[in-house]
Amino acid sequence: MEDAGPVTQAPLCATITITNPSGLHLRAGKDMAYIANRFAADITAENLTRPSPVVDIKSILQIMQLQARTGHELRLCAAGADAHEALAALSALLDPSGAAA
Amino acid sequence: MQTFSGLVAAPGIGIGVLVLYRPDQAVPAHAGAEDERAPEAEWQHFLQAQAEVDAELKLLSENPNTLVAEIFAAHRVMLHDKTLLDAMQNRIMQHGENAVSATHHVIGELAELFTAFDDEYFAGRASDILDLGQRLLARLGAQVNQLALANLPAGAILVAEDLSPSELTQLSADQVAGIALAQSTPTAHSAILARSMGIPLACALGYDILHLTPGLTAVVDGFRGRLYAGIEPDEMPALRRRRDQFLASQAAAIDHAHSPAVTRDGFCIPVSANANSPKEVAQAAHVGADGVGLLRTEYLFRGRAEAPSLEEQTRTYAEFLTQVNSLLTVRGLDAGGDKPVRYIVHRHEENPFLGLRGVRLLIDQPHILLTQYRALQLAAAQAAPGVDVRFLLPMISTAEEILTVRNLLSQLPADLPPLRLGIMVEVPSAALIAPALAPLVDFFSIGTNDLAQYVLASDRTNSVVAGMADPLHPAVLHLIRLTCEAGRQAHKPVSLCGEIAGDPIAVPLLVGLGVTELSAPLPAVPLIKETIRDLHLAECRELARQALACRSGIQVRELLAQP
Repeated sequence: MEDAGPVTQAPLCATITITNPSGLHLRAGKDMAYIANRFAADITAENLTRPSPVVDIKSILQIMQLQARTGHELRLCAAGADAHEALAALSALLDPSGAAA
Repeated sequence: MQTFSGLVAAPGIGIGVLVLYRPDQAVPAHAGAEDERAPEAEWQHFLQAQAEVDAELKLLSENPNTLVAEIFAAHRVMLHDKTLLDAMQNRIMQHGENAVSATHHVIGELAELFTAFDDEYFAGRASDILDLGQRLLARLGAQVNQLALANLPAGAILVAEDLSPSELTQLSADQVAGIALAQSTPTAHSAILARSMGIPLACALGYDILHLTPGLTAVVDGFRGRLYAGIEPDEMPALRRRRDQFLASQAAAIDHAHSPAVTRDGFCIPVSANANSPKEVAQAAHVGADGVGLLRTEYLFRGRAEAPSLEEQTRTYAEFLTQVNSLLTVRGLDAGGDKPVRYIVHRHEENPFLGLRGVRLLIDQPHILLTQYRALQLAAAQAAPGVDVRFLLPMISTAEEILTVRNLLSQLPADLPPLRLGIMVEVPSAALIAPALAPLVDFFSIGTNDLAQYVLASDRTNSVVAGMADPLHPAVLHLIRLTCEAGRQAHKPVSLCGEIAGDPIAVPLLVGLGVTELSAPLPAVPLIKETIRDLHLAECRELARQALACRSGIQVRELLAQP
């Protein structure tokens, strides 16, 4: 994780690789939105492998717009008091091998 | 009478009136404008519809078929999605649109956005959005420019190009006598659903059926994969007789569900149920299952911070042993990179299907294996006599794996008798060396779903190739035959679990190949038992011999559909 620091206003970001064999399909997207909604922080994602908009991952309809497949790299950014925890939880979900930790 | 031949997808015979179902793309009828309401009232109108749709989807997401359940669980999440709700609120509250028109616009825009995606899978999700939109519009009382599936005339023979799971679940067997599809495959979601709902279905009938005249008398023969249309009065009695025979056998199935399934020449084939949850274990005895032939324990391990303890597992298995009739087969945790569990560190794998999963993971994490086995041993020690308790190892591919597991299990205290230990035969190598593996195990359990995927190198979850993973492909049948023969020579039972164990059309073939026990999806158990009672083993063996000589899964299905 980069930019880790005590300031909560600046977003914390992390780059993770999707390891789920079907990519961020409907079911995986549902789990991702579910976890994101447990945090107060604003959390966005962008697909670095296939051009995508920067989306709000508290919405499954926006997550689908990432069109993320296995092996794609996502940049996740979180801003808010629990940004650090949010990124840790999402990284654990998306890349259980822990490459982003 | 015109006859259309396709593939068998769900058994049964339906006679009724032909109805054509041709869903238009969601073109909104200009509806809902007649009653003007204040924006706040429109918003409440929408929230009410949303709550009603949520209740519908909640019911659908409790479907015991996990594939179907997950689709509707995801629709439910979409229904509460902030992107959808923000757009709806904006149109209704800021722009004064009524709820119907706002729903048309928001759903239409989202579907359009998705349809334009490059990636076929994600573009295909537009159909999920439209599906959700149709549900909302129906609850809002809008005139939907579609034949409302819920309002079909009773006894309809529904003819369509294809049907989505959502469309199918709107149907009931009371209304729909049969379904005839121009495309689709027997392994598609629509076929699985139709079977579970008891609606006869024939598929791959060709596009000509879409030009038939609605209102004709028509028959779907789900045993032969046929649609008959424009039936002459003198042709009716024979068709009716076949249908009545089938209905009588179905009624008999439920009446006799609790008796054993014995073939006409006196061979008993125990029929157990597959269970994915405590609820399904509890139901197994009620539907007449001779036991639980495959308890998938993944539900116990998933969605929690640490593995279930020895005490918790012992309690769970002990309770199950009080519920089942005469058999409980517990499969060891079947996890891997494709089915991750939180407290196991899954290493990154390029190809998790061929990676550290099943027994490989259990050997890598022996504490999980040992705890699970010991818990079942402790539960078995408390159980009433008469229940056969077995432990099943997932995804065995070599003899060394069995020996390693036996070696690990020998570390446990020797105070309790060992459990009967068997292996899943779902990797081609295990089937090919089954004669060498048979002395090392107490039973085989053939997992046809995964076996078909591995043999035909086709991912069932990839819609482009899923149709190739046909468990009735002759290549799969040869491996089933090899495994059965090895079991027979070593006097070890050979069970078969998987979707086809619940398909009455496939059962004569499976019995003919030498399978000695079946473990079927729960709702199919009574009909499978009744099917077995009508079989003659010598005839089944001849059928198996012919099937093994076929060159494709489609040829096998044609063979099975012959009268």
